Amino acid sequence: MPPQEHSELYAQIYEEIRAIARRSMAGERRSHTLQPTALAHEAFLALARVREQGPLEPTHVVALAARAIRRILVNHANARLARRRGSGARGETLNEELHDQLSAPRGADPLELVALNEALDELERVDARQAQLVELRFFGGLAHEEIARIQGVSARTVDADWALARAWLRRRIEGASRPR
Amino acid sequence: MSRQSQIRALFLEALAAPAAAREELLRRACGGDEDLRAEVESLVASHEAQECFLDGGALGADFRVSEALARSDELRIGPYLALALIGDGASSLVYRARDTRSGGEVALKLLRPGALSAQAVDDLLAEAELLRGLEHPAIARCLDAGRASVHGAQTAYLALELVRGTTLNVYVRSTEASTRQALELMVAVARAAHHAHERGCAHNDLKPDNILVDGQGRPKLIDFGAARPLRSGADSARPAGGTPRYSSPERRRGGAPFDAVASDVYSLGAITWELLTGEAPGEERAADEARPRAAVATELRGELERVVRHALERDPARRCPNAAFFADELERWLAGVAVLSPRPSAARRLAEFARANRALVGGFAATLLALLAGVAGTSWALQRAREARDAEREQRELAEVRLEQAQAARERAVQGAHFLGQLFRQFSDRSRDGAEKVEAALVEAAGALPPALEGADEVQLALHHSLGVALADFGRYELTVEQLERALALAGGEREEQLERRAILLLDIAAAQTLRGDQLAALERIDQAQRLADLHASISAPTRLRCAVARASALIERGSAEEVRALVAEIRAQHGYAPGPLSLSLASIEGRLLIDDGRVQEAIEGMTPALAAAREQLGERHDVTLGLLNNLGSAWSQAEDFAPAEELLAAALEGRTKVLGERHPETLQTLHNFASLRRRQGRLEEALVLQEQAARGRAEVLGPLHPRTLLSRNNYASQLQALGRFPEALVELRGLLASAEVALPERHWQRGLYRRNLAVLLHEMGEHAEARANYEACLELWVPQFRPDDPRLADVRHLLSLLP
Repeated sequence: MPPQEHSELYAQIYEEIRAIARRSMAGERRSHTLQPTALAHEAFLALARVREQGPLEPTHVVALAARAIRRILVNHANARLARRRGSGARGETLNEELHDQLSAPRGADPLELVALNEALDELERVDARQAQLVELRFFGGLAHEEIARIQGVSARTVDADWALARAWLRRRIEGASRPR
Repeated sequence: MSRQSQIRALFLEALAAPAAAREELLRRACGGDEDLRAEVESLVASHEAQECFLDGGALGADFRVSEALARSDELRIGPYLALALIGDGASSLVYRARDTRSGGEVALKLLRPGALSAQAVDDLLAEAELLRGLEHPAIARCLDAGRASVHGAQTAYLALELVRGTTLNVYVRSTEASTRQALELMVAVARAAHHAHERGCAHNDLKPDNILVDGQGRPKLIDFGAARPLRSGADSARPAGGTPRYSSPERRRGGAPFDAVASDVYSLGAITWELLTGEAPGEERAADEARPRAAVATELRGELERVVRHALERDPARRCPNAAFFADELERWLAGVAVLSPRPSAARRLAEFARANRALVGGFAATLLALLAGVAGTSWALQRAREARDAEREQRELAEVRLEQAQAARERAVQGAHFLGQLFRQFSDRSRDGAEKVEAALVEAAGALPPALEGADEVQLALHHSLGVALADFGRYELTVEQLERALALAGGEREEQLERRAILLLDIAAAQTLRGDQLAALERIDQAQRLADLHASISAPTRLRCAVARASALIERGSAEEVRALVAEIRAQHGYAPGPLSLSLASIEGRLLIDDGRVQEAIEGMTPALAAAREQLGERHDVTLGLLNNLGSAWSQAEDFAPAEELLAAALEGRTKVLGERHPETLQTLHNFASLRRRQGRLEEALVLQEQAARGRAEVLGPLHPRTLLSRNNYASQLQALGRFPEALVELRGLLASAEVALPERHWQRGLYRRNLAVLLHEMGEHAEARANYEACLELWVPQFRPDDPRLADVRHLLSLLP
């Protein structure tokens, strides 16, 4: 059951989590970094609010939330890259972009995130189930058993899908020519 | 079997086999299908390589979206179980929650994890402490407070009396409460506020959203999050916080300490005003123009209006003295007893009169013309009197008397024209018909002035000066400059007042030229004024200050940051922080210097009160206000707080487009900043379009080689690059660099910037040798110019180190 990006529910979840991301960045204005713990933590609260709107198929919400998180992180990474590449008037953006580089979080490198996002879009055309698996695992933090339940396949299938998707994505991302 | 399934099956089979046996296995299984074998082999190789970022999670190892869902069913905070989210603020969330010990329900205020800090926890616990000292039926009680761990994060909570009801405005609207009922609610609220004041604390954020009305129609004051204990008597509140719509002028202005009790009283007045009229007081619109709700239109006139206006007095010293007095007054009115609130002050009445009588003020155009004619007429009289003096030497005495009379009459006429001119400027609203008529009249007057009167230069000069200044108010800067230049040509002499006037005229001309977009001509005039000030000690301090601020504004345009910094420090040392447009203008310059230094937060802190003050003192359309809107918006944009950034930049863009026109350099600057905002928001396509507009506009208005045009072209190229349109970006950047080498001085820092950006693009395109050469050229330019610890240097060195 691939998430419908244009559904109202998706829009709502997305807005919720984006607002959270913005706030957690606002709390850390000097470093301009996303605080993953704060984001993750507030996601609990946001999802609580979404659920108040009425009963939902739980697996559907899980998938939507994972997709929303992906989009937020990728947008953030894109914005950071845009600043890193370009430089604006009076050295403004130059300074700002330095803040990013000096305090970039250790885990998610924006280049990697953006590259992963593009590769995932391609993978979705090749094998949508694998793409969803990666989204649920990498952005939603789900274990293979949970993913198996959501996708209605066996855990062994998820393991196999993961091995293949991982190899495919790595080849795709590392084969792309980028400075780094 | 499809190709995909084939690949999958072989891949899994190969992984299951021992590494040594894989090659053989694949060769056999693929038969002659070399493509298939290559595909699977490459996937296996990719699988075998060491661990990669995909193995972790984007949000760390602890994050499980499914747990988030499961746990969101049961959000436990200490002994409380959250049931529903009922409030959502910037730093806290409010839940309806059940106390698991008693089974009762409470309103549970919880710090947002994202806003969690030791300070925030202390503040929340301090709020509890404050509330414990209060005991009033119209104040929601604090039941409990403490620290708790929520989903692994340490946070603090506050359990408050749960009020089942709606906010004041919703209640009044939905129940269609009568004026009487609305006022009775406000009496209770004012008494609650007074109770808090007596117990030594001000609420500091009184507004309809913080007043709930329960099922029995009883109001309850909530959210003491901004409340602070009063210290000894006055000057107790810190200026931050508050909701502008209901905040007192002194709170909105910020900067100086003020009386928090008086400020709360103002908010009570503002809430009452809004309840009665449906509109906020003082918001752009004059109070008299606010449309009272039909039902209370007649009631708000007369004594009730006096009571509410007394609470809304701008000057805290004249304001209704305390909340209890306000409550008493409302009760007196409700009881039909004479109120004690005084009539509004004379100045306020005058302002209200002028606002209420715009049509009449519009008719002022005719008056002004008549006065100008009067000035001209009296000038002729003066001239004739002088001639008489010369001709009739024998009747000297009589002639002197006539001369004196003529001079006095001229003086009165000039002063009258100045006075009316000022009054008019204060109350004029450029968007109105009346204003257009005045503008037409002024233009006509400018053309109709009699030719230079021999011996009457003074008068002629005064006329040109007044007219020029008045025309500037309508954005007719070219006519302004023309009039002022004519005045300047007449302003000779070495007497002190003549020197002073020359300096003022030069600065007025510079201001008009700046607004016209002719920065270079402006700087020349400012330098002339500066020379006058340097040569003549008699030039007054205000004029010197104006000159210094104008110089700082002009220099910052040219990127001479060090010079400006020194100048600003000197101005502050000599002139301090006197209030007024110059100080606000200086605050704007200081804000920009801080932004350039990367000290965005300090820039925001400095400019926020300045903008509030500028809006209040100078109005929304004043250039200083527009400049502050632009700079503060830009600072928020860099701080990545997009909501205020968007609001302020949109206001600046709209204002500048209206006042200066869409092709004006300042308007283009704001457009440029707006494009940067869109880029930061990740809305790259929109950013590209805006950036192109700004670049093209600047090329046409400022010239293709102007430094600002170059910066816009640079950003346009960056936009292309961010969108992956590398070949176009490369063409742009190479062209840009060539232009910079023609247009900019050899050591100009922008040259280094373009080198760096070209290098980054080449780097990304894999042209490593050329990238390296450009990084190095950039460093060569920048190292002698920047401090060794300047982050720009570290940035380039870091990029260079990334090259293979």
